[in-house]
Amino acid sequence: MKKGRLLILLGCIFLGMLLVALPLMAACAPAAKVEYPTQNIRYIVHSKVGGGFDVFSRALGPYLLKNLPRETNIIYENISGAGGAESYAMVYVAKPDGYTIGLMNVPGASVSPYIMPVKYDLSKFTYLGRGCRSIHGLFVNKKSPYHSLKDLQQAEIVKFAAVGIASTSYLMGIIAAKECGFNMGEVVQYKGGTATITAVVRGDTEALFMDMDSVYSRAKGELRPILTLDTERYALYPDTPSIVELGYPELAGLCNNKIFYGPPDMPAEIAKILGDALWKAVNDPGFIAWGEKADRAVRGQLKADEARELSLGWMQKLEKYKDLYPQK
Amino acid sequence: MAEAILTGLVETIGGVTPIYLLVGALLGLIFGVLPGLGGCACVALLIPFTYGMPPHQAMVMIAAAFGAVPFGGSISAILLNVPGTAPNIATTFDGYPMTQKGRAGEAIGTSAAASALGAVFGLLILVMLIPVVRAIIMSFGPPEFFMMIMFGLVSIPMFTRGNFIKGLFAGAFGLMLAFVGFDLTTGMLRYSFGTLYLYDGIKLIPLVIGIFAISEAINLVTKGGTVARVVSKHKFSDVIEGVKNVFRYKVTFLRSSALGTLIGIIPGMGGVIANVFAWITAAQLSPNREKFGTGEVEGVVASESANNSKDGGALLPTLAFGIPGSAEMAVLLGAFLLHGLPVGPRMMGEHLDIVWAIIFALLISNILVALIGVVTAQHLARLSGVRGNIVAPIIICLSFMGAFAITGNPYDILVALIFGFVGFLMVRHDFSRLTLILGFVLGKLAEESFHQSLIMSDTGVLIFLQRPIAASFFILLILLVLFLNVILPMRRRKARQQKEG
Repeated sequence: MKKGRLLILLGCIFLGMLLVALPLMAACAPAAKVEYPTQNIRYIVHSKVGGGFDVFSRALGPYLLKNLPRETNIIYENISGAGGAESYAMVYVAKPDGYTIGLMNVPGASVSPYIMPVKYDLSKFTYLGRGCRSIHGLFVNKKSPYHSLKDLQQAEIVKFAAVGIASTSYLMGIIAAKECGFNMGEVVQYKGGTATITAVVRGDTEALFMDMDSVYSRAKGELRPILTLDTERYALYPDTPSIVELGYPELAGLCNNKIFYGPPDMPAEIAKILGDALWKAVNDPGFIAWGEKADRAVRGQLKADEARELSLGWMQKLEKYKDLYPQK
Repeated sequence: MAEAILTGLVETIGGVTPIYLLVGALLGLIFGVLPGLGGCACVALLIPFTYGMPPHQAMVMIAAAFGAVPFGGSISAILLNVPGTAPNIATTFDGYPMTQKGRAGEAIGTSAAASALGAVFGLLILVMLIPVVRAIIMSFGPPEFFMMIMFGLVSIPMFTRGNFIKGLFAGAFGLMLAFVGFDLTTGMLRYSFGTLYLYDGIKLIPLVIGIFAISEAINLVTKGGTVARVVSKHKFSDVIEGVKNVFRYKVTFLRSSALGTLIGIIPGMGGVIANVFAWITAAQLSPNREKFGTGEVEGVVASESANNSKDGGALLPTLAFGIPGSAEMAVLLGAFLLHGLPVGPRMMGEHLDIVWAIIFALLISNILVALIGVVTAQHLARLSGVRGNIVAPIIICLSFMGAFAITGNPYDILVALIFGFVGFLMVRHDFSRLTLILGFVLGKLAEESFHQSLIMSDTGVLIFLQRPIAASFFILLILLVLFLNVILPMRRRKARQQKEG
């Protein structure tokens, strides 16, 4: 072979190898590290300043910052309109860059689509984890003639108080009434958990479903617990049977869930960074110690996938009870 | 107890704590003056700065901020017809007309004195009522609320200036506006036009800002002139006259402070009800009732003393039971939790020194900002002499800022603007804006408490007669209606006949 043609042949082989090798090298190269966060993080809270979700979020703030890979600030925004639906809608349309996150109440966020024109789809949010869950219980006034679930089932009507039709306490009431077979009649609605607790203490109404920690700190001794909506008895009320003991295990999951979430289609790497940081923050011994000191026990922490499953599970559960709600 | 009081006092005035108190008070004053911000926003801003502080210092700073906000809000209410915070609404009813009459300095002086002394009254009552606070809270439920609110509603005809029918129409329109939104009892969305914005109804602050402030700004631009229609020299002696008014109308001051404290104690009523109710009651019982709403200084005494005494009242269930007496107290409870302090009876049991530190901080802050007000009132009053085409844009900018600051929703600005034009047309065609606001403020609570009462009742409407306090209010209500519709017209007829004779 002449020298020129040999050179051309070698050149083509080399070029061919280059064309094959370059993509292979790119695929094998380590991915460029995501630089996050590089600016302040906007944290949308659906309650007013001082509300339970707001306090939880602000107390968590230092622990979240501690566990993020870079230094940043958290800017809290309290958007409390429409029972939280405005805040969920705000996060829903925010840019999915990891700089807007929020704390959602499930099942509150799941109830809203049944009673108002919401602008979000729960199934599309990016879920980052569950920070905490409540333990709810059924309470009656200490002077009430009701001492057990059986008493309620035998009563003609039991007058209940709740924190509004879109509230978790109302939802628990209608579900428990339907499954356990007691008649709660027309429910007296109040603004806020404290007003609701006070109404039952005062004797305006007879019973309510409420977060057991809230009742313990505000009305210990004034309200008698009838049952705990959990798989086992609660340490603060050791003599109160759990709903599982009473034969209704399917009601054991009824509680308030504080779910961290972000806009739909958040990049997976950023969602993982946030999810990991939130997981470490809610499990930080300092944060848990704060919760114990503040009578707001931090429990039931879940990672992103489990939180998503929980939220979507609630959507399916509510389909069964949607007829109990006033239709929009 | 004595040891706790002394410890609380030392914690408030010892070390660097007075600096935090001063910072809190000044911030509270500024947040009060700027419409739409208020105590909750101020404390939300302060909370991150208090991380790492000893709890007593943090609480002193926060309490000082809360203490300063009401008086700050009265300044913009008096000078610009824009309530700095929702509970300053009734201060605009007579405060701004006083400014229009060239008496801005006197109005601010009155507000300063009424605020400081009202706060002192409220805190004294707080201390005295601790043993009986539970009985008070347990005595007031929805039937009692409803009857109290009815007092205010049946007084609406008293405030119809000029055309009686138009005044009633405006009041009815206010009631209708109150019914917009999600109904707590039935779960129905009313007049929301399919929007999420109107789910919670029309917000009070954008409505008031529009009806009073923006409409006034439009008026200033179209008519020209200044806010003050009377030329005044704005002397310091006017401010001192204002301070003396609280002592001139001491019965009104004491009654309004007592009412404010009582309403503050009852959870769920709120500062707006305290402020408006005290003003209505003062108007009902005053021999100058016809002058209320036109610049009657007694109205400023009533509204501001109630506005500040309510904080002492609201603190009582907050500290004793963890039941917030007002929106601001709910934020205070949040601050407790963030600093690891207990909420509920344990607070009084385990941290009585911090409780006293909060009381002292509130007291000192109120007195401090009142003194600042008295010293600066003469200069602030000069704003009323500035030309309308300079002041009007400032009023409109502050109004839009105030409307937006509530929740950061641009629709609030739109609401303020719409009601600005509505208010302007109302003034032009002699419809009372005052009765519209009264109908709006009282309507929602009246409807909610009425529904709650009927649902909890086994005997329907008879529940209002079966509960002693509600029944007493009902009897007083009947007497009031008779007085307003029979005795008062008879007296007026007699006076007219005597004049003609």
